[in-house]
Amino acid sequence: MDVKVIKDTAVKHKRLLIVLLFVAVIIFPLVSSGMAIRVGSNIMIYSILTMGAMLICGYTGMLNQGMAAFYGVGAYASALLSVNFDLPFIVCFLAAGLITAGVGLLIAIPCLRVETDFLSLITIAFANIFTAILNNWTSLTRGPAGVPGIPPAELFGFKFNTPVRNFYLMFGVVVIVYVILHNLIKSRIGRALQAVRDNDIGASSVGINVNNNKVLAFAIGTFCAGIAGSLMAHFIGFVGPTNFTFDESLLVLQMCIIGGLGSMPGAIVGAAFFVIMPEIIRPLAVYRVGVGGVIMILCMLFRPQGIMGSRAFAGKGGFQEKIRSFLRRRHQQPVA
Amino acid sequence: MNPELEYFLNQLINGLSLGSMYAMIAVGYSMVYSLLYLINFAHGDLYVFGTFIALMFCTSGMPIVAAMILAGFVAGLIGMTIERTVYRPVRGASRMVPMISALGAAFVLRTIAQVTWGTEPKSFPALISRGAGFTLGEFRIQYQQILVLAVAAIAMLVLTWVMEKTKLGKATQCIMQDITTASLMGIPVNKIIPLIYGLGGFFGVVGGVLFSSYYNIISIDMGMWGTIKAWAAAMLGGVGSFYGSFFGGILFGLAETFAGAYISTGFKEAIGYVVIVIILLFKPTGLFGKKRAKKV
Repeated sequence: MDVKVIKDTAVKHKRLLIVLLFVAVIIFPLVSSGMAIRVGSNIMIYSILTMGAMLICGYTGMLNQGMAAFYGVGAYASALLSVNFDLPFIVCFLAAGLITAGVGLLIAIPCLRVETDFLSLITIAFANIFTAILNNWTSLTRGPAGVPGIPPAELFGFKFNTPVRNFYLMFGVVVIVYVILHNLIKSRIGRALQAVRDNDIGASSVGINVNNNKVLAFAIGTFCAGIAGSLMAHFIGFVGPTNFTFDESLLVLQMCIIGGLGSMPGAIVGAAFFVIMPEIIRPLAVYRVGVGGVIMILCMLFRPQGIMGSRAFAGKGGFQEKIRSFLRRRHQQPVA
Repeated sequence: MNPELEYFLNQLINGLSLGSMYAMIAVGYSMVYSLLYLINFAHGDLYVFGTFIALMFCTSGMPIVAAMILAGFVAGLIGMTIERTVYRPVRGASRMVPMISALGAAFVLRTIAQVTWGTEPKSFPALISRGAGFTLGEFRIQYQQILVLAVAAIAMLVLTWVMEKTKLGKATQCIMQDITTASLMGIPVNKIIPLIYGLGGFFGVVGGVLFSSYYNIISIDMGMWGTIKAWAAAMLGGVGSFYGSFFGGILFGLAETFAGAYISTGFKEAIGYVVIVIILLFKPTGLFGKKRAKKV
């Protein structure tokens, strides 16, 4: 069967597919074991993180290589607020998002004078500073020992103290974030962001305030990272400096790009891809990283726009397009 | 001599030699980066891979300079292969796409290095005997430190010469300006770009060997870390200028060393980056960068 047929059928029965997916995710924890639920929860957390990164990277075209640091700011903010001040979960959760967005604002505002690569250098610098603070400002962050004993999430007296309950909590947050971001990118702001991404001079010439839009996207994206961090902190019950390394930032970027730039569902697909793939190739032991690398290369070569990405990012279209045009040409040849 | 001053001068020398190693790596990186503005994550793992090959040649009895040059060529070939297989098919795509495929290539190289040479850091033979040097008044200068600085300066001069005086360099400058127009004018784009990647790999390995023999250590983790530092140094100096990345690297090394000596060792890397960010805030094109007009 041709790929196109599958795609057309999927688009035709979109609503049915979404309902089926919902039901599958809701049933999933009831029928699976601890390990699978943990993987599922990881997918949920990374989905939130990647959706935030997608807004920054895929919709506004800014390269953020410090996403893990923002994730860490959220996690630490939530952890310290709940451990030191005994604040309820919902307060910590929102505060984590707001604090992270504030940090994001502080970082985004000065560096938007210049081009994208400078922003990504600043995010790397920020990630370095953040790690240094985590390790050295012991009176606040307890240094390399991390912050243990974070209470589980609690909403209206209901404690999310088992992995299954946490899974549902995260799923709920993923759905809310998805709906909000999906509506945002369909709105006037979203169209402005995409115009900025495609051509910022053109965007400013039609009256879009490029800098304000970029800062807004950065703040919303980092807000997502902050709430993802908060969920992670309350789920694991411990935060330490080793969770928020540069590799983690790169992982989020990989999820974005393999999932497909400029596609919110792509963010979730990418997150699922990069959480599930390492689990599948785990038996390869030392060869794991390399095989993961080969898979990444092949993905990019066959589909440069990523799994769900828009064709605009693909350039010449990679091998997939080459094969397709080859087949088309063969079809057109007259039968002798 | 005043002990304060002596301490300062010692730190200055340490900073200079650390900086010249950054400069060495940054010069190679800058060349590849300024060509297509691609954040080349494979550069770091490529030079670590090449340095491991140099170590392998050394242990099989080859003199270290010959091993370095041979390993440089091997790394150059690998660099060309990476360009051909991983970058060229996605060159027309959004610039984040080759970044991820480069990262994939870096993972592959890292795994091969890990399987072949193990994950443990290894010691590396010295280019010239460690610790040898002369004393100037109160403090010591090691020959090694002079060597590193000299090699970095020579690399910078050679590359500047290649870029400005030779046909290859002129073709490269054309490609930097506009790849489509360059190919229309008969510049063999698909030959020049692999060559530049090869050169980048070669100079990367020279830098890697200098670094490893100075600190007597080589480990797989140096790759990613080196990429980021080289990139930061190249940005600081100004993209597309080899003088820039040379002085950018040295400034970066000095900033880190002085931050470690006078402020706090825990924050030294962070302060290095802060210095770069502050300089770039006031001079966004970097120290020696040319202002690029934005095309509409």
